[in-house]
Amino acid sequence: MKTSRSIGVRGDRCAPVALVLILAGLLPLPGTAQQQGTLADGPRVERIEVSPAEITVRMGETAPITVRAFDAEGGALEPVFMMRGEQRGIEVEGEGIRGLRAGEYRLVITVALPPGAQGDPAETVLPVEVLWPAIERIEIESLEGRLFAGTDVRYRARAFHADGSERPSPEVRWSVSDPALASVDPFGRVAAHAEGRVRIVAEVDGVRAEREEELAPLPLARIEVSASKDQVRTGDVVEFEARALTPEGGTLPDAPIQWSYLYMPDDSIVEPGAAAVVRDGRFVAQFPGVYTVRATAGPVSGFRTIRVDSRQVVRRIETLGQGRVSHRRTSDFWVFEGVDGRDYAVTGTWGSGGFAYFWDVTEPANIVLTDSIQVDARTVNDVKVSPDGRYATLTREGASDRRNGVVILDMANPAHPVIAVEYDDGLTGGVHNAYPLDDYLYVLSGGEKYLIVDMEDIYNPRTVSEVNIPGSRIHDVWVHDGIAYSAEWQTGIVQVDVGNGRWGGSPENPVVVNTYPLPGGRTHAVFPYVQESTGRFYIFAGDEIIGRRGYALEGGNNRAPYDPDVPGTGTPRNTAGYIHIVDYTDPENPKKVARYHVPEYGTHNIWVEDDILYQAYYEGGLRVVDVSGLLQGNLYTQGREIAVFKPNDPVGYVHNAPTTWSAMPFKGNIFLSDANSGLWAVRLQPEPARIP
Amino acid sequence: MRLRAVLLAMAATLLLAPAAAAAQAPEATYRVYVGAESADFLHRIVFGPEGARVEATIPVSALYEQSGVPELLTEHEAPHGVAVDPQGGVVWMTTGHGLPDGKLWKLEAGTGRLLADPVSLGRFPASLGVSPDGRWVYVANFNLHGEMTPSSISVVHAEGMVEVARIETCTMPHGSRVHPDGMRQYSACMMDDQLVEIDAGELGVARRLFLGVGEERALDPDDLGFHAPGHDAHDHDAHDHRAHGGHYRATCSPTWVQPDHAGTRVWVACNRSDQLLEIDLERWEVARRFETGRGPYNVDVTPDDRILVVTLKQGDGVEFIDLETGVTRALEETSTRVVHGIALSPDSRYAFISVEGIGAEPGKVDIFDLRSFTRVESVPVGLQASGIAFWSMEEPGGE
Repeated sequence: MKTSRSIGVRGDRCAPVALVLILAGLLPLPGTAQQQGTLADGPRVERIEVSPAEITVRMGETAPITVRAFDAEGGALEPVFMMRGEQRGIEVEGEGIRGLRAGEYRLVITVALPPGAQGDPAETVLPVEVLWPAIERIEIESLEGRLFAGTDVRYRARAFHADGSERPSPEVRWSVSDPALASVDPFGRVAAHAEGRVRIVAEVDGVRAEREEELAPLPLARIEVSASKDQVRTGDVVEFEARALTPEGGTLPDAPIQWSYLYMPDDSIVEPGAAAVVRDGRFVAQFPGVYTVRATAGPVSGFRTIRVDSRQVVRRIETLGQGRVSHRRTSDFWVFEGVDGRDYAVTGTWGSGGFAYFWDVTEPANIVLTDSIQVDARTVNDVKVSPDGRYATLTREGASDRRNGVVILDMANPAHPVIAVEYDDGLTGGVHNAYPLDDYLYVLSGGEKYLIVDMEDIYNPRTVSEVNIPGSRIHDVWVHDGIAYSAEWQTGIVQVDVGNGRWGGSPENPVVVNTYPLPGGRTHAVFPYVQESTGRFYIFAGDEIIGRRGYALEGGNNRAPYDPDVPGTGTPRNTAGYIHIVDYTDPENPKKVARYHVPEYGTHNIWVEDDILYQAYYEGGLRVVDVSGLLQGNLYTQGREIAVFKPNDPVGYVHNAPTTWSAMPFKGNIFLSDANSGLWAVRLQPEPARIP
Repeated sequence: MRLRAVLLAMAATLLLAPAAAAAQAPEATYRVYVGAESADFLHRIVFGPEGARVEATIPVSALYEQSGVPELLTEHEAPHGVAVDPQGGVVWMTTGHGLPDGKLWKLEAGTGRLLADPVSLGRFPASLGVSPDGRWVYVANFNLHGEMTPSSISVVHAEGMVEVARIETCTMPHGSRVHPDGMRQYSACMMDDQLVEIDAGELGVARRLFLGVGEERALDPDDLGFHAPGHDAHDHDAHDHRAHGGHYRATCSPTWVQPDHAGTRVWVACNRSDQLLEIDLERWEVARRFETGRGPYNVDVTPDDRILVVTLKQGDGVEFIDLETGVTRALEETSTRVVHGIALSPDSRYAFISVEGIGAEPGKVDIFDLRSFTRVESVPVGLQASGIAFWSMEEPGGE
């Protein structure tokens, strides 16, 4: 399939056969003036001129262009041109350029030379802008209730193309039909000044739409505000409710309520001005103090004042032990109780020759290496053990035969596992992650999809189905209550019924429920969690962003010990990204409610247990976070951090460069793997620390 | 029969070129670039009177930091294909992984400085070829980790770094090389047993040759192979070779194609059938067939048209075939396993062979003397040495 067409023939070394055909007019050249040209003119071309000078075309349309050539003296020539458009966005069609996709692209125009011609042909590379298709219709909607005289409401305009697609972030010009009755700002907020009938106008690319509003008097006597709690801690979400009451004592459900707050700090010197978030009546404070939350509709308002205290959750963290790995980079790990009743951990390695290590962690202060296994791989990225402890999975990347697959370990002797089988059926791509359950294994294949594998006989696994979202790239999968949640970069979170049954799915017949994209498009890891304190069901989804380009703190991505001959080695890496917390209590209507974002570092793997988040935050170390209660805003700024542990190791693979990969709470302790220093065991001390 | 020919050729070689002479260090100084797919490095190797060593290492992460690309690598980027343009000023490198697709990188030869932002191509861009004028780069989107569906050859304008075409060819295209006249490009289809010729003027497939063992013949230019949607394996009477799932199981599994300097023939490495095919370009048919060691992978011909050099991926060695007679002159073991690419010095004196290694073994660049056919040096490089390309040769006393 050709994605680009040519005018004339390419190159400075035309094949004789092609030359004859061109001169005889036999090649199917597109019908431009240039096709009348001759190869003999080619070597004399000094300058190519294109009209129009700035090429702009709408998506789905073709813009005509004229190409002319001149010699050194400015004389016009008629060479044979070749034109090629950047294939992802434009193509040469007939006498012009066709826009395939909105964006900025380039067009290459070259003069063809006859065989044997010396020197390079004249050529030019031009920018081409492809605009969105023309707008066909616009919809205007209120975001805040009904507009009454004396109130203001924000409106939104949605613009659609002829094919039904929606223009992302359209540039809207707002106006109103009668400025004496109403006014509108550039953001679509309309203020109604008097009673009457007014039209609100939105214009996008010259296309207009109107919405007529009847500006009635505001039938409001007062607003009563109630709060779910009157005294809370920072980070606690308070649900405020406003009752808009008419003079007759009834309620006005479509009153345009706006929320705001007044903050009275305990110490006006150290506290910031913006101390809380209030959205749709849900309020959360980041700092202690007294807050008055106000609901307003036009000239009428009501308020409620609450007290917010410091959350006081910080606890000291104690290092128990380390299973040091300083000669290879460590990847993921899993800690578990073996079938012999002792406690074990398995760690993988990254870019290091396919090793996995097995540790006895029954005494966390005395972590003992019991065995290792080397598989044909450069990276054992992910290691996990089935809930029943029967088998473990080592995922392979960089196998010498490029048939990567997953290695299944028989864990009958947890201290000295043996390979049950190397399973690569349908898994020849690099296998990045796996999620083993007692009966089925969910295993990624080459970033494309995941397979569901029957593990009844671990020596004879059998693939029963696969899940592949077209055009999506997958990185992680986790299963909870018969539903698989996968992290798929730009696609976001993908929810698949693999046995829950609500949507008729089973492991043999997985049913895709929905997808939920997240801001930034870097969805890397997921962790489903039923919150103990509320019963709500959340997906914690993490970004992975390496390098911090565009941040004030930029940085590189070194992965190697110091080598004076290789630039950048021996330094810590730099990452970015955060945890998105999405409420899946209604699985068909997920809603992002909060985030955990430490600005100078980047997230990796996630674990939540007992309403505590154990977040591996790469160079930010292990972060232990209180995630109890309703969640809103950025948990980092709400005093919810319980502890931070940075696994510095002066003799690590890269010295003193914490790069925390994963963390798991286990039997009262916390285990974590760190890329530069191996396996660690730490413990939170029971009593809260005293905050200075 | 074949073993006896090899032994005879090797005996003759020993008589003509004493081993002591072979061990001598070269008088000239040679430099090659080689990728390390599992270390995310591009190395420059120097080989001269002082021996051979890694002269420079360029981490892919350092290239990202020079670029304006917001994306930075999260996993292995996997440098796979390496080429130096015929003018010697630019090093081209493909990286196989990305979000989601791999890239083509353009570096200044010598300094390793990034010359332009990388351009995103298709799934796992692998081997690449540069047109003789250095103005066009043809990259095989190998799609190593994807579904068994037809992939493509990307055509990139070198100066502007503009991907002007993505030509769908077949399943797992590999071994991109450009004809000496610049008007045609060749690649092989590992899973469809095809040799594909692209017309560089029309940017479309001009000819296809089916390479299934014993069934070689011309195909329709529109035939995307056995894994194209709706394709019936019976179309090619290749029903005996279908694997489970109804997919065709390649019998040749071509991994590389190399035109000769005159532009009259190409050689194709049949990795599965242990053969090297010589294809007559005018007649578009198999002209000669060479039996090789196990798993021929890459092939190149010395500038003096004397020797075909073949890497044996599964055979852990390099085979040197006399081009005129077709007789194997030598079959030498490499210093480690999984043999990959070939770079030949312009004086036809040395072959630089990249060897991947397995697991924690370092990759290697083994250097073979093309007179004695002995390995004279072996340079450890990053994990999984991959594509390799010759950059420069300095004569003794030269600047």
